[in-house]
Amino acid sequence: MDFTFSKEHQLLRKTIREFVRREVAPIAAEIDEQERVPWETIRKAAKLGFLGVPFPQEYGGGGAGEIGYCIMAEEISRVCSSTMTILGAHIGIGTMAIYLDGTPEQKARYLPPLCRGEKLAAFALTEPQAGSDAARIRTRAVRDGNYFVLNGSKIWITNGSIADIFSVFAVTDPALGARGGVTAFIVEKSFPGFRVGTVDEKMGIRGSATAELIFEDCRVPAENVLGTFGAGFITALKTLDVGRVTIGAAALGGAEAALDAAVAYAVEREQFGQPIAQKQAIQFMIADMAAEIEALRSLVYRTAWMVDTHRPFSREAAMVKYFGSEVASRCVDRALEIHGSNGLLRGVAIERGYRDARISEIFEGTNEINRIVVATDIFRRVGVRINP
Amino acid sequence: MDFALTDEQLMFLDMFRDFARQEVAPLAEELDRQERPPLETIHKAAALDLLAIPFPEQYDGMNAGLLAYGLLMEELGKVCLATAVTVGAHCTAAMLIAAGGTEEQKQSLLPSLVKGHKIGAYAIVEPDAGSDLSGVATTARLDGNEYVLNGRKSHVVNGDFADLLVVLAQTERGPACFVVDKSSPGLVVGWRNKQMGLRGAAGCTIFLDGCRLAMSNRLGGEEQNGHDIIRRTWPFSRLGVAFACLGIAERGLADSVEFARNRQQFGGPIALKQIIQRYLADMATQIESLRHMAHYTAWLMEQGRSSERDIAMLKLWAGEVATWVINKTVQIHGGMGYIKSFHVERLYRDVRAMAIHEGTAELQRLAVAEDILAAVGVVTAP
Repeated sequence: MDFTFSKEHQLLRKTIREFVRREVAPIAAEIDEQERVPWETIRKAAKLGFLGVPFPQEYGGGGAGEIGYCIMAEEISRVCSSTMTILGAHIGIGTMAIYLDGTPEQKARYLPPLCRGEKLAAFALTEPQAGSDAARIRTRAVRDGNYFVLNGSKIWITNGSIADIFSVFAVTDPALGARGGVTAFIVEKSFPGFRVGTVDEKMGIRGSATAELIFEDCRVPAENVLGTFGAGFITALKTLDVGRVTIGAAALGGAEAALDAAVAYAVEREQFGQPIAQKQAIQFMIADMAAEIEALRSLVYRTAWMVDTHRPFSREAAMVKYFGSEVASRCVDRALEIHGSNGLLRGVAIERGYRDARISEIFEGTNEINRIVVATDIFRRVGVRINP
Repeated sequence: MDFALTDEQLMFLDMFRDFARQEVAPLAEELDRQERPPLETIHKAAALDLLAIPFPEQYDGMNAGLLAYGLLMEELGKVCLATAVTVGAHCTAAMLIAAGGTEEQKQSLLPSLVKGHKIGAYAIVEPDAGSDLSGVATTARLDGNEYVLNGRKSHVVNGDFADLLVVLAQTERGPACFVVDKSSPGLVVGWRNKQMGLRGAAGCTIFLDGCRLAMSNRLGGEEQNGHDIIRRTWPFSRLGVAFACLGIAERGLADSVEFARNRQQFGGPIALKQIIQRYLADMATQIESLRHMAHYTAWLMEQGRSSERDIAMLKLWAGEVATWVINKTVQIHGGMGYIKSFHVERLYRDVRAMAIHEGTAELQRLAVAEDILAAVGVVTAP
């Protein structure tokens, strides 16, 4: 037993923290206000190898594993959820799908430029009528010689308007549905018939680009079938499992930032002749935040370790995702309360933190779906099948 | 990084689990109904050296570490929280001596406690001194070369059958801890509390009525501050409570799963209802977070790296998780969770103390907040 971070991971945290201080923090409020993608940050992060942090070095990755990736997610999210959302969609789901299930040729071709950050990735599963009920996607892929022809649309795709490579899920056999009838494809933005539709305006994570993708007779070479034909839904679930752990780590960073902001404010703000930090009502909110954050931290890194040591982790990933996002939401809410009306002012960090936090309870599997993942596993362990 | 239990810890876990299942579980209901302590269990535990787990070898301990001790409390907590609390009170009494005693006191007192030849208790709380230890009114007056203790202690777990009590009293020069043998004249055991839960580990009222002790009974000698000894022991006792909380919460979840898969309503098992699935998922998730926090904190303590804040957060979280999980356990069981002929109502009565004893949730919150604010240079008012 040893809960210490390795030397490499400690160094990684230091490096990322320094990067965040220099490059991310100064523009965090600005990219939110202007609703713009921080290209300068992405390019610098790519240069430092951050865009391939968890992946093996043979693909040009950082070899830091899920633990290293979680460290990065925690540190960046402390300061800017938008930036982490972009990196998360690129690394944790877009590229991850290719890494997990891609053929050796696909990995050799796509992973190095993605890991080096020369190209950006996105993950395209959700459709207008298929959110939590992802098995109901309708985007069709029909074989035509050496190609598949895709028709349909995807919505709420993070990095949708800025990515070069997409992991796209489409129906290849409507009769089979999610059980063998969905196939994953690697789609490049230059493929004919692919275009970006509406780019959404959002309450939070406004520096990240969320877009609609439209496929109109989009021709995808058959060699770009991601992994096994018909096994796309499994690829999607496996990928989301890993992504969820990182959502928890990002939520941890957001929660820590909220606590730090609450403490700093409570110390400065005077009411009734003393700093409000002297009031037990405030102290109790701060203590509850700290205790929940500590519980979350334990859960995040333990689960990341399970990923890295090849233990089964679906159940734990779901736990980390929904517990983490709710801890973060409670923390930003308490921190906002401590700030009083000042917390509602644009430009105050907690105002942005409060808006940014809310998405984590929704994306990469709503918390309702993640609870069902956990409950289903609980019953599976006692031999009962629920939610077939 | 390595989050796995060691082979030795896994071996102990097996042993604790067997013991809990065979010896502790069958008595749980009876202890509650008869409101009696699990004396036979304590002696069996002693025979297996289970009371020796966290103590150093030089005092006949197993030196198996704090996490192993936690695993013991977890397994006991799963089957009978009252037994866990009884064992915890005994071990904490021994740990007070280990933390505050002189080498001579440790050598003469610890082996018999560690081996379980004698049972320990600690008498700290009073009717007017709970969270606020400075309110202790029991006095220890020096009379020649003896201390004379006068006062009243409440909520003393194991108080009615312990052979040896660690007592906190005020001397003229500050607080001190004393080791009091049950045969000491002037030590009078009062009544056992009639309690909502933990009836097998009910606290007792103890009277000290001119109880005369040799000066050598003062823990750590004349200069040793009694509050300091108690504070040094809190991490240990609170860690035990946290693991016991983990145990009872796991029990609540397991029982709820079993009930939900069998209970038929609206034409099928209630396990198929999403509202029940949500409760179960939340229970499992909170339990998992508590487990890792408890393991991590025990590990920190073993490395000598834990802070007061680490312990306070764990104790706080443990109490919150356990009470919440058992509350939901009752809810899932519906009427079955409320009736005496089924054990769930006992879990509910038992668990409530976990957010109160060994430091209330409020005290833990204050400790955490105090530490956070101290880090930014703010001293909070007491």
